[in-house]
Amino acid sequence: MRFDESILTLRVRPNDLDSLGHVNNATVLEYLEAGRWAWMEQHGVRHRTHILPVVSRVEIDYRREIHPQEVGVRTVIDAPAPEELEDSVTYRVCFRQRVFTEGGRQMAVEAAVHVAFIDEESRTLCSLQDFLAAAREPQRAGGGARS
Amino acid sequence: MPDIHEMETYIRRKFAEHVGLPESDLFGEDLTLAALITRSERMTNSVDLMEAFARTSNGLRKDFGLRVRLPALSLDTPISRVLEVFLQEAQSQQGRAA
Repeated sequence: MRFDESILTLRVRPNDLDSLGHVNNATVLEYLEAGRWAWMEQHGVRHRTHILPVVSRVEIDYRREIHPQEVGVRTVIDAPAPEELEDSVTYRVCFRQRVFTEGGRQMAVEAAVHVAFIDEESRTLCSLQDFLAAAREPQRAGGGARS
Repeated sequence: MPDIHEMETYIRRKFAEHVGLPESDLFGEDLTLAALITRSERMTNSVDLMEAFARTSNGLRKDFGLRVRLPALSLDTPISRVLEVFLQEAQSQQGRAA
């Protein structure tokens, strides 16, 4: 099981800026979330299943200011390693996410985002393998797996 | 198949290992799950706790072929109750396998 890096391009909106005229630190977390959705889409992982991803930890370094422009959000799995995805049961994933500015030349933000997987009904922890199996099940007629 | 005492010993040992606390602290003081998260240096939130449950269940599956799934437990649940639920689930699985 191998997952490639995804790249999402976003345009900074005027309301993303704070009084210093740069992107607000909390808004960057929204950019990272959008990057993870793009990663899921790229890998054919459906958004609505009974097993939901939950962020349990975010480590973030703000390296440069982000001014109004296009930004690129790069998302890749940092852990577990591809061979661990095959051979063992894994309960969380660490995404490495970076936000680039200046047409990809400058790294403005670097983050490690830890994600676990919770069953919506039982509210208990599931493995990544359970999540992927559920997210890749053929969609039932009439919409998502759960409403 | 292990008897009830072997299973209890196994669950206590594995759970303490995954939580990162000595068995005597964990079960001797009958900590609540909230207290356990505070006490353990390895745990930050209830996801860490659920991971310790899941890893213990996974051990039961690998070592004894039992598929044990714990229900969601509130943070004021004492560890003795968690152990009780674990054993009940494991025994009912054992009954089905027999």
